Amino acid sequence: MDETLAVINTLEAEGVIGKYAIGGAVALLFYAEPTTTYYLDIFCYRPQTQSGLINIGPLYDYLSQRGYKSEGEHISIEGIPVQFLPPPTELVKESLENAADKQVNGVPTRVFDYEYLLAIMVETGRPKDRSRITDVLESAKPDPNKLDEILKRYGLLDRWSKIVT
Amino acid sequence: MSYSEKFTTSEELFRQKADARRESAARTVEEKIETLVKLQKLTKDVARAAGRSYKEPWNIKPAIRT
Repeated sequence: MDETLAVINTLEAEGVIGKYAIGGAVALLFYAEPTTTYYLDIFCYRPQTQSGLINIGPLYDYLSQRGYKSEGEHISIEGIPVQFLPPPTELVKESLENAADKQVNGVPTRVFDYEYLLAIMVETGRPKDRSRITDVLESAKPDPNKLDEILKRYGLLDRWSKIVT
Repeated sequence: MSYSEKFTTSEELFRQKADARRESAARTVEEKIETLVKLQKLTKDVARAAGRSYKEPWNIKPAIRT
């Protein structure tokens, strides 16, 4: 995965994407027991038009010129399907701003904090998110104060309680 | 050594399972990436044997380098 991250770091360094961080199930790998997943979700800022449309052309051009092919909504980079996503909610924006510095085989990257990942899964609220929350809590405990503070601020405490009780 | 009379409790078995999950979570991310790719390959093999569609495992170099 380090080779994929090195390419993504270059995208950021050259201004093709803004600040990025890994979210989704791959981010959970940094904190909890591994579970099967396939897509590397990269949350990042990208230029928007005045009407709010996101111009993905420069990103796709940059990657295709380097031999990386798009497959549906993903682009395969060094053997891993990657999806570049704008932060869709204030919670995800805050997660991106506060992402933790990590390394994979010496390659630097940023990853959403565990507590933010849990809060995002509560906010998203799909059945697979609720199931994943109970799974990951069995293998890794979050900082309860930090999680509580995030959940309270985003009005997610009730939903959290329903999932974990 | 025979295990024909090795007794335990269900609580002990679930405790061991929980311990194993915590140990798995505590491994390095490089080790976990190796595990993830093994899980992806296993999932593909099972799906293929059952005639179901499947996703390709990540085509990456080994995450753990010596």
